[in-house]
Amino acid sequence: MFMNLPLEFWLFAVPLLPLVGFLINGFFGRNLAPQTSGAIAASSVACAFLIAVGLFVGPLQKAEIHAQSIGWMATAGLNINLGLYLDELSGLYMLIITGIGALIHVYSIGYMSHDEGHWRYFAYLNLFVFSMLMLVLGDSLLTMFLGWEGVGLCSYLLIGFWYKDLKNTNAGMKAFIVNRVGDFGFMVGMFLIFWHFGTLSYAGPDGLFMSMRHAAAAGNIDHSLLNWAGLCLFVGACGKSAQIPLYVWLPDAMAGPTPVSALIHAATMVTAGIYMLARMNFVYVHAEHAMTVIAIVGASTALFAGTIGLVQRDIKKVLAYSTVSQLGFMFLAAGLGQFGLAVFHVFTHAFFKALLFLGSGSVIHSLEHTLGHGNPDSQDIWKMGGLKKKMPVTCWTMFIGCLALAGIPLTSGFFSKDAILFSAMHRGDSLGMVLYGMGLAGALCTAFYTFRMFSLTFLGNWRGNEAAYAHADESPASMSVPLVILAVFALFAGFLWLPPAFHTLGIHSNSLESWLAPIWVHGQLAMPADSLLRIPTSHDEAAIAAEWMNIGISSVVAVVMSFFGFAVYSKAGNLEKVKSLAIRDGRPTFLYGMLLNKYYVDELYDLVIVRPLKVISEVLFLVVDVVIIDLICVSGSAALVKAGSDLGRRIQTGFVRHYLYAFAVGAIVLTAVFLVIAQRRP
Amino acid sequence: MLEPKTVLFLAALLFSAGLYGVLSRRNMILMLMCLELMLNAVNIALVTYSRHWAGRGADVFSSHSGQFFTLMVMAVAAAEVGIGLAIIVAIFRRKHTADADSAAELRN
Repeated sequence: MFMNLPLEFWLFAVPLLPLVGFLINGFFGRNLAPQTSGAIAASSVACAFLIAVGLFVGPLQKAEIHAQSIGWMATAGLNINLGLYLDELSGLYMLIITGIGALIHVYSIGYMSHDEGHWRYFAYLNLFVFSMLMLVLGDSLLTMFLGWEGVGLCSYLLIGFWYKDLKNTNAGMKAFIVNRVGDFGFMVGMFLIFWHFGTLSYAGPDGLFMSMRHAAAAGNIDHSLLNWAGLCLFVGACGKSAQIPLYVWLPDAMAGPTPVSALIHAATMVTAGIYMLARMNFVYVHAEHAMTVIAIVGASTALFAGTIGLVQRDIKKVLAYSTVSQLGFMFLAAGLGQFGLAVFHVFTHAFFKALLFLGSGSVIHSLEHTLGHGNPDSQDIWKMGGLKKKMPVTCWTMFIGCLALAGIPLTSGFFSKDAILFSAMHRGDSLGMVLYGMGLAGALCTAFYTFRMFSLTFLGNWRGNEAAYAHADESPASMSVPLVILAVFALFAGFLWLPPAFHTLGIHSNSLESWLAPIWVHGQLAMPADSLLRIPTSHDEAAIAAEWMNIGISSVVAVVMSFFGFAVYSKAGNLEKVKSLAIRDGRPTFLYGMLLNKYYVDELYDLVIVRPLKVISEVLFLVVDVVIIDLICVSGSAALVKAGSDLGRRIQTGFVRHYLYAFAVGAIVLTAVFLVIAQRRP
Repeated sequence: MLEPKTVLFLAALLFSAGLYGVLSRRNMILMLMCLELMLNAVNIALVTYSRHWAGRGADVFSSHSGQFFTLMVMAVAAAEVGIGLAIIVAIFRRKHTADADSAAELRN
């Protein structure tokens, strides 16, 4: 009987199931056992995932689904329906969000089992999944913005989840405020789009897709406006997806529970910027200046964050900077016009980065038993080592995640990152070569810090608290099973889109590429043939040769740097040498100090933005608040009224005759006035 | 037949006398009486105008509205005297005087 329900119903069920979970946990969770609230949350997302899979393999293979139902705002010239739009792009995202979301919910049951705020945690996590699904499934930019704000809220709530520690709440506020900067850009971009196209919906005969095609067919594309709109939207993406200059919130966001870092700050929310760029690809292909900016910002972020990741001591901070860096790769791909590759990297990154975060969570969880909750030592990789023997499943799954992140050949991360680097190289101009160089340097750092982290954590000798090591133990099944599942995908997800060079070997596998192809049609149709942003349809022999060269370079870089990181940090004797290289005479060397302090960017922002803002606020407080508003406006007006009434009340003598005099005089004066007026009139 | 001007002059005289009385007297009963004087002056003026305009000029004036108004004023005046005297009696009970200046509690 359920089969007879319309597709729209099933589509709406996907985001609404987590919302139901959120409502149950939010209202009644306080009285539920930790396992129960976790089970409710996890099963709501798991059901959403099953429906999503059903939609994906069934109806979506035939056509896009546009569920247009609830009228939201109706004004003259703007009708917003709260509809959902499922196409190839949002379908892929939907699968990632619900699939990885379900795994992380299951993992969280184990991870949060001892936390008294479990119901709050699961409620927020469900609300996040709902918001994220609204973000990707929304059928207009405004619905996307609704989800965009919703995920920001959940991110804030979950970063500051352990709110009793001031550091955590500050990190939450930092994330929120930095994201507001980006959201402002998003809104301006949205207004520009609406001003130009008169609509915010994607699909339909009046939607943005068709408007863009009509404009291109008529040859009246306003490139300057599209550049500005694209740039403004990119500012929003910078905030959400942690790109220079708005990346500073993401490393601090690691204050939240580790599964949150895996779901929100690695696999899904931070890739919302990429989703938005890919969704608006038809705008960006006509905005070459904006695209150049995106590519440069992406490549810079990839390299910049990669170098910072080299020296971080906190296992989650290493992964956080790695996430920023990998997001940089995605933006590099988008900036080169290869939105498909950006989405592909989102796809593979979601698996291996979620895996790495969950693995680090497993380590932290087992150490926290002894070290106590919130102890920074439980995250310090310099105080770990040799955990391989204690936690074999975590170790080996994380090893696979590290292989993928480092880009070791034939893992998922290798294929996606390699394809991005190749498209930079293939661009064919000097900017392309510069971007390629930066990307390769970023990949080099990635391979090194990944295996530095892995070796320091799992290999060598234990360097921390002896009691913690003695009690360190493999995590429960609810935590290790998701790790194994994610590890499988982290290894093999890349085979969905093999580079064209592999076709020469007779291996054809580009199902993801062809799956996503319809998304780019609206943009690509309208482009001049010689545009740098055009997705190449055929590969000549020179390109294939160049690609093999690129594959070779990337492989060598990844393998050599991984081995180097492995060799340096896995032996106890080497660690002293490394320390002596970094710290001379008790003081960090210049380079190490720069990296350790993250290029002093936080300090720079503090100096350039926070402090002037504080000074201005102080001045405004003293001048505007204290003097103008409090003293002049509030106290002043009260004093004026009092003085006036002090004068006025003297008139009230209380003697009837005085009032009568005034009355009589008034009557006489009025009579005189009326007489004069009457006489003046003809 | 009397000229309207003469009668109006009388009315003005009466009104002024009443006003002078109200303003100059302190005894509330005298004030009330002077008030009556003023009202009657107005009544005379109304009747005069009513008679003067009757049968000529615009429709508004052709009716006997002036005379009706006089009756109205008399009725209101009667009520007013009733209330006024009641107030005076109430004040007299408390203050043992009918001096208007004695009731000045609402000062300032």
